Amino acid sequence: MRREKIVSKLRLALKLLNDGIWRHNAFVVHAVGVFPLVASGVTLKNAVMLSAVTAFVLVVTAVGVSFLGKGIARSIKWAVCAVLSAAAQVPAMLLADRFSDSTYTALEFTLILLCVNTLLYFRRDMVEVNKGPFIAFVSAIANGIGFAVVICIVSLFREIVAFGTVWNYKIPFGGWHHPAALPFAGFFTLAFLIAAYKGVLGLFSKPGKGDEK
Amino acid sequence: MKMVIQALSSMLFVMFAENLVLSHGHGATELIFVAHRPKIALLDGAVLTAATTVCGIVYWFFERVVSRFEIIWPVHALLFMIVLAVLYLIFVGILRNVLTGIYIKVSRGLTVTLINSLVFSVPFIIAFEAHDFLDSVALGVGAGLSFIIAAVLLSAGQRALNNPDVPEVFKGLPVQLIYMGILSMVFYAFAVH
Repeated sequence: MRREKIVSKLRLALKLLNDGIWRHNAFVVHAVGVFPLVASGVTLKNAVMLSAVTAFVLVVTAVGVSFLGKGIARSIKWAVCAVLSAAAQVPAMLLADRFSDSTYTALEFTLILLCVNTLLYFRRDMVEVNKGPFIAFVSAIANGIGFAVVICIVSLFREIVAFGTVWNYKIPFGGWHHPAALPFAGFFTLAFLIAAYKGVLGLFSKPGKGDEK
Repeated sequence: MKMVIQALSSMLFVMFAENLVLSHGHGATELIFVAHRPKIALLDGAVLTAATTVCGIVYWFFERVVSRFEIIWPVHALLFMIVLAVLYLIFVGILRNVLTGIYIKVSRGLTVTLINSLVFSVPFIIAFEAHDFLDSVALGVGAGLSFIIAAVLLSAGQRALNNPDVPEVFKGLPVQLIYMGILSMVFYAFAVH
């Protein structure tokens, strides 16, 4: 009986990982967190720092809220979510400041704003948060990785096109269009990434079983 | 008089010259969310404007109190997030109990409307741009109105975005983002020149 429970939990965890990273990646399917992608997804270094902070904040918030229980009103859960994520960002920001002086300036304002955006994902994931700390943890990790994949691809592309560098190292090509670092280019890059994602997803989906919104 | 003109120019600045939504991407997720519900886009915008205005007013007083202490920026932001969470609960309470008609219409996306990066960007703008109380109120109102402008522009283009000639993979979110990118480019040019 207990073994069955563990197996079913593991199955659910695998499904959540698949959903968060690939099949229902909130950042490409629901356009969650567009602001950090557009405004801060300019260099790979920024993207990696943002991804690490996002994953940390998501885990702390999700696990924290999962301890609240089901009886508490949704609006109170949201308020707790907001405060928890801002609290989780305090050590994350201090750590970012210590290890990466160059990226801190760019991250300074977006980190706190980002937490609000990452919160939005809980709008649909409250269900998973209600299933206990383990499921909440797996769901948060999956969404953290999902965000990391998206922002790293967007940032890498924009860094190559805008500056001709990768992780601030000069490469023999790129650096063609400096405006690629501006927010409007972020919208375009994200649009093409989502279109590519839909195309690839379409190849693997059975006809009539699309995941379109 | 000078203060009023200063406040008005600050408001116009965040609405047009540096439209917070289209030039910087603040509240872009909320904008896309609203685009799927065009019938209540203006009502959502009005609730958001109320939220950004109250946020601007509260932040002005919050700053007067907090600046007396030497607090590092992350903790400062955490304290304001606590204030924002309380404001959110008050807003939900007022809407649910007093403005029930509006609450029924906007309840589906109320959390996204009241807690998003646009609302939270108001304190940052006030910290750098506001000169006095009136200015911070104007920046709060302007932030909300910048969202309404973006929502109206996005709704206006919705019919063109549903064009059958749009390739299948670009239908929906991608074409919407491309349209937002074009609008963002327009506002960028507006700001530069």
